[in-house]
Amino acid sequence: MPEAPAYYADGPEALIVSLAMRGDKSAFSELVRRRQPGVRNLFRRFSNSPELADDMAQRVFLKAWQRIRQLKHADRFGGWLKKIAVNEWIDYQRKHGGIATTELDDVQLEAPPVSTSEAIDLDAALAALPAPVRLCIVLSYHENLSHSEIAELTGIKLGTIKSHIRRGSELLRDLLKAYGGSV
Amino acid sequence: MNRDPALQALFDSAETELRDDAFTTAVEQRIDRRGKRVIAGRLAAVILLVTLEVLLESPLQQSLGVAAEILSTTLIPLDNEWLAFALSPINSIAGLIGLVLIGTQHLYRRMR
Repeated sequence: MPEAPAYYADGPEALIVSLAMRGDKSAFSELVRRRQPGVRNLFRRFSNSPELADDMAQRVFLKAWQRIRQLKHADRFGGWLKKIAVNEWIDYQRKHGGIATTELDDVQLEAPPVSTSEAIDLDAALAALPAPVRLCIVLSYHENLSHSEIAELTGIKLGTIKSHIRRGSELLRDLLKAYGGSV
Repeated sequence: MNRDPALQALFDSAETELRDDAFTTAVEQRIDRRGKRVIAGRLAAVILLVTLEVLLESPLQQSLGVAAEILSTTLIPLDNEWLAFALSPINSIAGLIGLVLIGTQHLYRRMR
């Protein structure tokens, strides 16, 4: 890929996005450089696996490059990228049985069985939550999205999201407490 | 919206500053590989089409002619010339197939 002009690194994002929309690969690389920590961290919360997280994040950027000409407003790149990332994760979960294809809403919340000897961190505790609950919790706490934004992004009903976040938070607190966490 | 402050703090502290390292290069390589695959696929399709065109020129033209004839067959014969002309896009087998396809697509979208 050609070397990016030095001023790309300091350019406003909307400008870099506009250049990428015109097929400038160097501009897109600059967007990857800027956005990669956010996308990779999001997938780390989702998956509890740095390797899988990086692979998923790469897929997201590949998809973003393929579809960037469809982006209507350059200044909405961040939200658009987040939507691709969440859809990619939901698709991945469906393919791997984490989220039932039929409905994201029906989830039985029970404390998952975990070994008490195991040191548990946030990602491991998140991994113990049912997939749709984890999705809502991560989008709420990690991405700071409102309930309605999560509903719009995931297609899950608003009431279900509220319930997932309330019960998921309780479960997460219990899991973290059980292992001597600070919560 | 009520967020648990302790959990929020935990999430905030879990946000690690991930260094770029080889990540951007890996994405670039993936994009290049994908681009090459697309070009190779298009080339293969062109070669296949040209080969088929050479091999099947005559039978293909014949079958296309037959298909065009079948597709343009009028479903309901109309005496009025203008009416027949105006309804010709839907009053044919091709029109019927088109309507069925649109209906199926509409149904599929609603089911999704």
